[in-house]
Amino acid sequence: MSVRSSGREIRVGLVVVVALAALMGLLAMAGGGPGFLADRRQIDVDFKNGQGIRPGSQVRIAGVESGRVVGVTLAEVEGSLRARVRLAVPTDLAQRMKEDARIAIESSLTGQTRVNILSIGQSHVPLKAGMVLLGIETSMFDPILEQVGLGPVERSHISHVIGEVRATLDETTPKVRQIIGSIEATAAGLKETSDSVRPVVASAVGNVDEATRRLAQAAPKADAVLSQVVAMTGQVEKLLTENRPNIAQTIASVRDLSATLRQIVDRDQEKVSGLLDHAKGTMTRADLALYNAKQITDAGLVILTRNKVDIERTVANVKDATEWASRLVQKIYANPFVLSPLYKPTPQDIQAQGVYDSAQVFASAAEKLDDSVKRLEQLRNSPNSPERQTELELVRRQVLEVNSRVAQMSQQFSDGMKPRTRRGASTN
Amino acid sequence: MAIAAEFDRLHARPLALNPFRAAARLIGYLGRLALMTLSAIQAVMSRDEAGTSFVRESSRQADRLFAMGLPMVGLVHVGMGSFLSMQAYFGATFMDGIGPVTGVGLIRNLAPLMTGFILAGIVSSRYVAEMSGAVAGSPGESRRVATRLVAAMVAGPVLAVWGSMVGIAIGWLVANQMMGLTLPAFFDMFLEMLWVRDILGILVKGVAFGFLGALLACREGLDRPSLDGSPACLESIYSAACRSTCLAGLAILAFNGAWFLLVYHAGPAFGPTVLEPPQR
Repeated sequence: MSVRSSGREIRVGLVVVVALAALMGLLAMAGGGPGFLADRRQIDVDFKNGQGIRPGSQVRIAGVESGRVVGVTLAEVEGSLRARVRLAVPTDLAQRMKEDARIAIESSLTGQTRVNILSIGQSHVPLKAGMVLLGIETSMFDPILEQVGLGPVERSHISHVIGEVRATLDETTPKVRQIIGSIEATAAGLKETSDSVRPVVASAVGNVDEATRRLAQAAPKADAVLSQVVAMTGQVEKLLTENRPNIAQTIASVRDLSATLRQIVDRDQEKVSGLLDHAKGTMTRADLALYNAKQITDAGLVILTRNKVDIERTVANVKDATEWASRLVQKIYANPFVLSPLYKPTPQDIQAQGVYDSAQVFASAAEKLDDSVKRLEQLRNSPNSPERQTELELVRRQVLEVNSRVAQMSQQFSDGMKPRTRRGASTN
Repeated sequence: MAIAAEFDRLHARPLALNPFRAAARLIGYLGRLALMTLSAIQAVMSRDEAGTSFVRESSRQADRLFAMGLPMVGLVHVGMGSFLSMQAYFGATFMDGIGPVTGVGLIRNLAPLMTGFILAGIVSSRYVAEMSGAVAGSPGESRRVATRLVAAMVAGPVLAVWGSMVGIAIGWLVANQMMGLTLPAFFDMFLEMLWVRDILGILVKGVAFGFLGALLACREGLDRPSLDGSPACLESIYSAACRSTCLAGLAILAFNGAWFLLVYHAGPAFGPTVLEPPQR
């Protein structure tokens, strides 16, 4: 350095100095971190706990270094001092951030602190220049908490929910208290009402007991009525069974009649049309007549129900009278002289009459026995239990035995009814 | 006698520093460095009138540097490797960090930096004396400077790689003997943490550090008169060598800082690490 510098050396030296100065400037800019030659935008974030963050600390997003902390100051926010951290991030990243961006300070295991942009936000409102964001508090246990789903964002959500619940409670508590007061007043009113209504309810319960007792007393009568209804139903079924051939015949007649009517209609359609027109009026009158018939039928049913016993007794008497009349006619047919007032039966006539009467009784009994045998055959053919079959077989044998006796008696009757030869004549 | 008179004249100057004169001297010094570099480049491009081979001369200079540098760099990195290996465990207290701290630390920064300092001392001790008294700017002297610059630029990365290899090997031996770390456990994690820019860095920084040391040593030697064996002349050479070493160290630190800022700090992140939990 002791050598004197020439002018050329000075000029070249100046160029070197300028180059070195430019290099120093470039290095100073490079101190800002990655992307130092790109456009930067500064963002202010307030943290309750700065965790030792300082200018030069990294700013990361998605685990990638994307900027630097360029300043840390204290700011009074809502009565408390907070660490206001100024971040320098690339402009394209800042333009993507929204007003609800979530930014946190994280500490590594080596004690280094850095700013981590957790979320660029979901709002539709972009982050405006000069806007101060509120940072999220984190701790060194965040990686562990994130493993169990309690990361900073989730904790922020929980805190937000708790805040909303608290605000809701603060808002609804007076209303709830008012409602509880109303419920208490209503309960007191209900108590008074119950006290006043209790005697009325007690008397009503007594009335119900009395009504129940009366119903219990009326139960036998109701049972009797039901029994009568059942008996009447049985009678109706019996009548239907007895008149089944007649009903079938009636239906056949109706079928013939309908065929005849169809022929008439085909032949006299115009007349039928007129007849139908007249039939409408007739139908109205028929409805009226049917209504009257229904009234009469109902009255008749009432009469039948009330006089059932008398009617049955009358029918039985009529049957007996008919049978007696039939026998009388047969007797008259056999011996017309019985109508004469001067007729005096001989002992043979009296004997013959007695035999005849006995034959009649025997024939009737035989008919009933035949019916019983048929009924017994039906019962045997129907499905029955073994015990029942045994009983029916026993009855059948007894009936067969009776039948054989009846056959013997019939032969004896037949022999008895033969004209006997007078003992003298025979001998003659 | 002229040298002694000049030496006395220089030391008889008042210590008061004139900032303008100092700035002019600094600018002139930087200008001479630049001009010397340009003349060296011209000398590389032109033919030597004496017919000497540039490559042979550069190889001869490089042989001397290797002969002096290999043992020195190796010895220094024996200490560096063992220290890093133990410090990685006893400082961070986990085994996985030993390989990366030792290997990546040496390749990324320590080996080229320490090699640069050692090489600056070697070239200062040789080139200042060899170049003293020569006429700056003459074709012969420019060629001599060029061969030495090239030799140092070749020796720089070779010695840096050599130093890192010695340090890594010693580091693994220490880790294996003292902590029972296996070879795969050491090198797998080390290679996983290694970047391409680390390999590029040891080469670029080795070349740059060798160039800076040799450039400043040649410049300091050219600024000195020829050796005449007098104590004052020797003292002047010793001072120039020390000055050259310190200036080279300063330049090496500046370049190393600039490399860190531009390649690592201002570039992408430092890459995988065993010290921080993985980012989700």
